[in-house]
Order: sequence, then structure tokens, then C-alpha cells
Amino acid sequence: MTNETRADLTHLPASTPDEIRAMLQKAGVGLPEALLQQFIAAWPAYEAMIRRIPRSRSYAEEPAHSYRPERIVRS
Amino acid sequence: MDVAFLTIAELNRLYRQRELSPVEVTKALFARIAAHDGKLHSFLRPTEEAALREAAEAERELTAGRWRGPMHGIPYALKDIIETAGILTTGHSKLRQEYVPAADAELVTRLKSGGGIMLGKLATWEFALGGPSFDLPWPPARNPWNPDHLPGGSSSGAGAAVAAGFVPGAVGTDTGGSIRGPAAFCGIAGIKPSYGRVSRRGVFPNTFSMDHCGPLCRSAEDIALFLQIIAGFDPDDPGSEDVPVPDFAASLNDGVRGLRLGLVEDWYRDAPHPDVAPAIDAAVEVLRGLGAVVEPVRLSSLRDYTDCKTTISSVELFAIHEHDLRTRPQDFGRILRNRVLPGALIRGEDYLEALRWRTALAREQGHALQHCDAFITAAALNVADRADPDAADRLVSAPSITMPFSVGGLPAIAIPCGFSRAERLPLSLQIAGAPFAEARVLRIAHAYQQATDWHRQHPKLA
Repeated sequence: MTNETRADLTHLPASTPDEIRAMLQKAGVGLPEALLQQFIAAWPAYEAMIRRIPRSRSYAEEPAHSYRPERIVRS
Repeated sequence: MDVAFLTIAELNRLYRQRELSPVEVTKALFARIAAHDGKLHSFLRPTEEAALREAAEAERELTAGRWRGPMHGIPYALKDIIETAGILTTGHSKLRQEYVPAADAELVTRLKSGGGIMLGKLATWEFALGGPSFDLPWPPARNPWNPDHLPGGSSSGAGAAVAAGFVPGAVGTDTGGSIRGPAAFCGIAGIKPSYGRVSRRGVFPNTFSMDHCGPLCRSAEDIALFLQIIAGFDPDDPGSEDVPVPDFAASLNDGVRGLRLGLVEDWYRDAPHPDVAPAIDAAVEVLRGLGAVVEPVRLSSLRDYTDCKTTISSVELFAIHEHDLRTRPQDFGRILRNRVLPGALIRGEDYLEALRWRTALAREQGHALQHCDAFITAAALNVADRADPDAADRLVSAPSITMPFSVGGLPAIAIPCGFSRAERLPLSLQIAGAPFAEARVLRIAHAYQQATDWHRQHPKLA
């Protein structure tokens, strides 16, 4: 795994508390203020994690999921 | 005879020799649970009446010479996300405090057919994720080696109950380390089998694409016997693999001479606890002494594996819990809620990139396994945490040494390999193999346990 494969997003600024509020609202999640404050404290670690994901893979690099019709479409 | 720490293998022998009976063993274990679990909280729900019925039935059959297999007459317990017909299955959560399933999980059906005796339902981190939590309807389980410490999670009750001598084996689940972590912190053995080896049907999901069920016992030999009963294809579990189930115990005594073991040293050399690396070094010397060839292997960093796994899990978790989060967020424990909510804000393309990353990381494990027969490394980077309700959540910030083999879907076992000097708490070795090579992983673990006695040391309960 080399750094060349990454389109680095780690330079993006961390979301502000107001932005976190707005993102949750857009996602349709309403929280009481005390619980919202807890999440505002928790989110930055997740945001940083997502920004570390390597990107710019070739088209041939498939995701680790598969669909096996014979396992789902069973008569 | 004190039955508390008899192994499954020993119980089988004693049953055959008519020196012990399942009813005697079951009664003795319930007496031990009653005497000591008030401090450990490993059981949410002992099911004594039903267990004694199952024990009496097993005793009748064994006396009549009808042997159903290595779990016949053997007590076990289940993590409380595993569904049991007619018995509360709460996930250790207020959200399912009154949920009584109509049917057994597939693995429970197999254990019943095998004549096992279910002693009850065990504590877990909330829905196998949110923990350790102190704001749930039941307290978190404690570590039998020192109840001021936690047993790890999420199969917290399973780790504590097996280590405490309440039950010789338990079923846990492992998405990122939830069997291996408690096994490591409680000084017992626990295996995450290959993805698809044991049916997940009837088990509350954490991450569909990475959930595994497996046993925690006190020896690798017992793991082999227990796994034999629950492993196997389930056409109604879309993740189940239709592959042959070998006799896991058959090759236990084949030793490790000539096996090539890839030591993933970068992952633990700078572990936060100073006793981890020396304990693994010592375990490596034992395996070398038994004839294994141990050579260093380099894989991607724990940070990479942890980020990949946690991104995938966060999205799947949100999908699973979305309805409850929208309608009753206050009924979640704080840690579960804050671990599930991020999934609402992760974009579809991030999830897909993490899945593509998983392919790359799993392939690197496959390439490394072309040059070695198994990986060895630590199973934990520290000893069991102290029980502290105000401790910070380290799920994302602290890289995990169990998540790499979750990403790979490989069989991986944790076995005890020493104790820390300051705290006298267990340290643990992790052995992982190629997909569906559980027999080889167990063979290596058994060889190590034949040469050491860490697994024969047990906590003294006050």
C-alpha cells in the first residue's frame, strides 16, 4: 500500500460544531442537545478516519463485496 | 471433584468412564455462578431450570450409550445477541430489554442437536459494539483475574465466565476482535473462525460483511471440539460458505515442525504495555524450539486496517440501528450511540472506497500466506483496562491488532502466553491462517499449549 495510491483528503479542515449539526440535520437525525454535544465531541476522530481512506484506485480494483445469485434467488 | 476448571476434553473422558455426570457438573457450575457472579456480572440470565432438564436428558442418553458428539452433556453459555427461542435476548440493551425470539439461532440448533447444556445468556457490550458501558440496564462484566479491571469486549461475559470456571465454553461473536479481545484479557482461548465458517443466522448483526461467531474455551483442544459442532454450511445465511468441515481435533497433535510462521512484529513491537513484546518473543522461542521456522512478515499498518474496518462497520451499523436512532436515541448507551451515528455522515463513495481498500488489504494477506503457513503476532497491545466509567472511547484513536484478520476474514485464535509483571494480568498470542485453515491454526495453538502451562493457570475468586 503506497501513498501514491491516495488522493489525500487529510488537508481538509475539521468540521465545526455548527457544520456537524447541519450535517446531522440533513441526514434527518434529530438529537436532544445533550446527546448532540456528545456526538460533536466524538465525530472529529471519525472524520479524520474517513479522510485517511486511500482513493484513486484503478477501475479494476473491485470492492470486497459479492453477489451470488444462487445464494439469494432460491426457488 | 472440583469441576470448575475441567476442560471439555476432560469432561468427555470422565463421562465415558462414568466418573462424573452432566447433572452433577451442571449443578456444581450453577453453585459456583451463584457464589461468585455477583461480583463479575458475566451472566445476564442463568437458565438453571432448563439447563437441568437438558443435563438430565444428556445423562439418560450417555448412560444408554448414545453419544451425540463432543458437546454431549457439556455446559456452555451464549452471548446475549444470539437468539434463543423463548428466552430473552436483549443484546445487553434497553432497546431490546423485552425481546423474546421465537426461534433459535442456527448455531444454537446445532448445539442442542449435539446435546450441549445451555447455562444461560451472557453479558456483552451493547449489541456487540457499545462498551464498556456503565449506563445500560445491566452492569458491565468484570475480569475474574481482578474485578477492578474489565474483561475486554464485546464478548465480555463469555470471556469472564469461561475464565472464572463458570462454564467450560461459550459462544461469542467477533467483528473486529470481540472474541479474541476477551480471550486475551481473560487468559483463555478464543477463535474467530473464517468468515462463512459458522452460521450468523439468528445472531443480531454488527457488520454484515464482517460478523463471525465462534467459541471461547480454556484450551485450543476444547476450541476444536466446540467448533466442530457449530461449524458448517447454512444455506439460509448468505455469507455462509459451502466448504467441507474437517475433523478439527484430528490434526491437533501433528506439531509445528517445519511449519513456516510469519511473525508480524511491526504491529506489537512498540505496544503501549512493556510486557507485550517480551511475551511474544518468548512464545516465538517456544515455537522455534518445537521446530517451527519463524520469519518476519510485513503487512500494512494497524492504522490502515483499523480505518478500513471501522469505516465499513460504521455505515453498516447505522443502517442496522437507524430506525431506533431516529425514534429513541436516548435509549442507546452513550458509547453505542456515538459509534453508530457516524455512519449517518459517511458518504456512499467513502464506504465503497473502504470496501475496495478491504480487497487490497485482504490480498496482501493472501500474498504473504503464499510464503508462510500462518501469521503470529500479539492478540492485544495492552492488559485489561481498569473499569472506569469516564474513560475516553478509543475505538478509532487506538489502532486494533485484531482487526486485520477481521478485514481478511481469516481464522484467528488468541491464546494466553504470560502475565504482566505489574498487574498480574494475562498476555496473549494471536495465530491466524489462510481461509478455512482453522485446523492448522488450532494445531499450532495446541502445540504451543502442550509446551507451556499458561492456559492451566486460573484466577482465584474471592
